[in-house]
Amino acid sequence: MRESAAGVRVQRKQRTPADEELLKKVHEGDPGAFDMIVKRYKMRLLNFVFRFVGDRDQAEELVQETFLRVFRERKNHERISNFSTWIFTIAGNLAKSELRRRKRWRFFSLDQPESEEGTEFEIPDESQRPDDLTHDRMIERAVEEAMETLSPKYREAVILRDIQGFAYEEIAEIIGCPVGTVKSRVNRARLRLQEELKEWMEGIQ
Amino acid sequence: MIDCKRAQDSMSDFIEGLLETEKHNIVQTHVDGCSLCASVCERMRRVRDLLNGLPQVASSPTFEHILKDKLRLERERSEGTLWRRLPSYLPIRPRPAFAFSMACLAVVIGLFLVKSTLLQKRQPLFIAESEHSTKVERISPSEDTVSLGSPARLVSDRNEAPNYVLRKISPQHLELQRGYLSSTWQSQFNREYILGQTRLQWTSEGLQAVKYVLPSATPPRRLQTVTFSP
Repeated sequence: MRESAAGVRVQRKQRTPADEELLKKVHEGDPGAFDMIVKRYKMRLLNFVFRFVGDRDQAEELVQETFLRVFRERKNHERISNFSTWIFTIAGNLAKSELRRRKRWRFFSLDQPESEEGTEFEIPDESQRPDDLTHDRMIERAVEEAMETLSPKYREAVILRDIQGFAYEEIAEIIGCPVGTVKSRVNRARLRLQEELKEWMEGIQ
Repeated sequence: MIDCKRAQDSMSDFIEGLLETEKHNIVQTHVDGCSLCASVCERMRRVRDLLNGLPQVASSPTFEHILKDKLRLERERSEGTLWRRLPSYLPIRPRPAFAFSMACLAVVIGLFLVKSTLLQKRQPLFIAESEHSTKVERISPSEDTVSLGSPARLVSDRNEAPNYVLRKISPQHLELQRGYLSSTWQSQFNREYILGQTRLQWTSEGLQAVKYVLPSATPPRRLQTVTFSP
């Protein structure tokens, strides 16, 4: 836009740089460019990874690791056609690795011999009794518990679709499988979730 | 008509309106006539809304600070020299696994050093003969080998026989070389045959090498004693 002869200032609309451009600037040594990438993706990635692994501290570490990997790959910026799906692929892979690691640990801990009665004595968590929880928190917790029953590949698909709002084509790119497979995974995940939440949903009606 | 399984296989696309009109109508007809699938469809819509409405988690106040620290280390790693890069490999926050592995590494290195020192001590040492060497090392029953600064030589009374200089000796070599060191020797000095003998013996001061010269038909006479003592 130009300034008119009469001196009337016409508002100039600044073009927002694309993610790929920002990565190129990071490669060229522009420190502000990386801050902008972090600002753009921090919350989305954090929520994606948090819903995936269910632990905020862990999610933060994984998101930081995601950004570090993006930084390491700055030299290869020309090869990245879709930054948005690429960064979610990195985060998703890290989250899946974390779940695999936990599963291994759980395997080892479950392998411990049980007590003679066959049951372990558990101290109830008094800090989060259902009657103390707010309605929103109850919903969130019920959904979290239902999500934990999903295997990582179904969990990832449904989070990307229903929480992050990605198109099926984008999810296919992130996960690296055909759109039909993604749709099938999302459908199966939703069917499982509605089954898991069936009693809860009927209870609050 | 389709059965419940096929209807539910298309349920996601159905509730999102992604089915083609013809297929959408088929599923719709089934859902209208099947209370089970109607319930599934309704619950699936609610699940979708629930997921969509989940509260956003906020990052901790230290998130960006920690990230910047990690990025700084990353830059140092990729740009600095090897010496400058080394500290960047240390974790920002102390981690038990890292500390444990470092402790194990220190123990292994320590054991290796101790073992190599012991091995060095146990290594068989040699006995050298030289006319010009000035260093003699002595041995004592409690220590394998200790260097002795002062020169010591085994010489005959006439300074004509070759000097024996024991540079280093260990108990193993003492055993191995006992035959040589204690051998009886014979040489001719000034047209006179001299029968000689070197004897090694432990004393309270250490190992003692004593050389005897046995002139013919004369009783053994002690010529010189060199005591290898501290």
